Amino acid sequence: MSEKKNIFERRPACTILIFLFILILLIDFLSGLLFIKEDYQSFRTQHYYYHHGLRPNQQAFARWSVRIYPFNTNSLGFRDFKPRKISLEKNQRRILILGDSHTEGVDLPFESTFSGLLAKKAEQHHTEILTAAAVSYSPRIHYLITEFFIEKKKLECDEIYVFIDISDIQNELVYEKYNPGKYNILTRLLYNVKNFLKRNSFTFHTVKKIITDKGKKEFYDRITGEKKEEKNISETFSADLYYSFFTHFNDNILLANPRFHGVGDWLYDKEFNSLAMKGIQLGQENISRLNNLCRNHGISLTIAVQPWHSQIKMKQTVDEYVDSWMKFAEKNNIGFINLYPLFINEENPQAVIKKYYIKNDNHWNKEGHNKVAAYLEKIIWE
Amino acid sequence: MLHTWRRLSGNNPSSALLIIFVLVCLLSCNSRNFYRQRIEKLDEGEDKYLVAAAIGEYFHLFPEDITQLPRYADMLMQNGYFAECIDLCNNILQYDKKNWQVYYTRALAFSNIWEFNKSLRDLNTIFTLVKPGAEIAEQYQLTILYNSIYQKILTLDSLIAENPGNSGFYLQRANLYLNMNEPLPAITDYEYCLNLAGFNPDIVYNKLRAEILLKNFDQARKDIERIRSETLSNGLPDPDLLLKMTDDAETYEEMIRQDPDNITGYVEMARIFTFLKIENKAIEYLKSAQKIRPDNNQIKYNMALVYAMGGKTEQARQLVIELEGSGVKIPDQLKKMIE
Repeated sequence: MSEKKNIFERRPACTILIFLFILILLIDFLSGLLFIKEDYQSFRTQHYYYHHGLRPNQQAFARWSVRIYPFNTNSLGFRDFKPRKISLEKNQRRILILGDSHTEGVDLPFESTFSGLLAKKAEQHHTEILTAAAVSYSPRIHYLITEFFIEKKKLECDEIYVFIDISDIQNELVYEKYNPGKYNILTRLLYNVKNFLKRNSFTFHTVKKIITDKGKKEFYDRITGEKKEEKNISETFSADLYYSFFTHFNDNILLANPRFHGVGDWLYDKEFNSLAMKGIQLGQENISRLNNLCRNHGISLTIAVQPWHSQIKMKQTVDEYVDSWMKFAEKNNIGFINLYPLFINEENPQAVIKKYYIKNDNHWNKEGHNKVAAYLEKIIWE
Repeated sequence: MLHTWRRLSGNNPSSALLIIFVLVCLLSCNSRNFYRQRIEKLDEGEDKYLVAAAIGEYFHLFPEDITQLPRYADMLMQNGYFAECIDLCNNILQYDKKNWQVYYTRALAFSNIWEFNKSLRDLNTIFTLVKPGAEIAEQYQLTILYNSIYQKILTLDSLIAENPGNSGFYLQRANLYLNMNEPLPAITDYEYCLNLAGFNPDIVYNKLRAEILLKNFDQARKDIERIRSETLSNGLPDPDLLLKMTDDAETYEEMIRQDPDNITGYVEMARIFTFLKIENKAIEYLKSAQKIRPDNNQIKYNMALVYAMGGKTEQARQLVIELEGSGVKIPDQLKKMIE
């Protein structure tokens, strides 16, 4: 009677291979645990449906400029005071705020951003405010993220305020060819596995980093231009983010033109004016889609436009950009808020920039957010 | 290794814990030193953004390090990161409520973002903590002055809201901004005034002073060309002299950039700003020179002269007394100015 053989004796090669595989995996994940450094953008993620967004339930720290500030997200992956579960059903008036980096509130803790200030105030008015905003969002992403949450996830809300600005015209061109992945189990599984490996597997992380660094270097070598007052984007901490938004944009001639990256001036630049118009048109097509979606779900929609430095310096409260959106909103029966007069008025434009904006940056500082929140509070609750 | 560990800890759990504690402390110190050295190294370069960013990271990692952070708060202030400096000072003052130097740094930062009342509040707090030196007393006077200028600017804002076509209001506001050493808004208002009122050589002259203050030397030269064939009001300098001053300013700014410890650049820049009648800026340069050579009588004499020309006779008098105490003979002309 032959003795019962163990698995190694029965299949030595296979067992060694399995053992080696498990060992490599262990070493890989252990190395990941030890050597993958959490950076100040770790709460951000690519998204298979709405391009990019924020990871849910994060308690992290962020860096936009020189400051490092707390950054928390709720269960939906929206910026919030702290990680918390958000019910899909509403039990009071619910407002969804959409926007880009201005609305995300870069360089500030959520409490100091206009949406954070409004969310705090909302408690007194039996209202809930959710902020679905992230850096480099534009009408295309606003539509996709709303479709994802309202239609796929069945999130309930009464009103949507969407904050747009001049940077959207570039984003719209960049996202023109972006198509969302299918909302099915396989896509979601692949997306989750990829994200898991990126954050935990040392090998996956390292290979991805090498490829990204190479691409980033090539990208910035092409776009480096001359800027007197501000730093080139490639020299700032938001450079990695900026690069990652161009993954679906292949127009190398445009990318190589430094003026393409100074989107604030497109409207005033003969060469770029037609491109600016195309960006506005794409944006309006996407907001039309968003408006239809809102109508189907009985949600009221309001657009708000905010100025950059270049608009403040031009001192026009209704420029080509504002005028175009104002007419669009009127035609489509969408609410419209012009934030330009808050920053373009009798005050000296440079004084306004100094008082309400981050140093050498188009985003509001704490005072700027206070000003916007105080203005919107009246519109929302009075 | 195990043998060494046994020898060190003597198989005693409390000794082992103590060793681990000491190791953690050492590692933590090393980590701090690493970040400190990085800040020092970056500070030797010219990229203020990177210095500020490294300080931002240090502040995030070691918010309780009140021995090092006051210096970093000062560095942020000097590099123009005022909001970040205020954040850092707020943090330090939570741990060390009586640190008057931090109140002073924060007062300067508040003043730079035109929060003059907050700046004065901090300066008043310093008066309750220590007997203020001449520098703090002078800053107090300057903050009061800037606050009063700023109130006038706010009044002009209201007037401009009611009369947006009145070029005179823009001119007044531009001059006030220039008096506050704020060339950017001043230039914007001078340009707006020129658009509304048409070409005026005196306004262009004022604008070019602001351009020099902003180190926009090429634009200053263009402005000089614009007024070359025009008749300036009495007492305004000759365009050739202005051109020389502009060229000199560019040269001496470069000298300062290349060698921040060379006092010649500061003294010469002070001379240029005295000539342009921007005395506060001239004093700033002389103070920078004085930091390098605190006992230099020539710098003190120049400061006394600029103070006297700017109508700050008290500050001038104190310096003159100090100089006479050191045996320096003061010309009668300066003595008359401060009488």
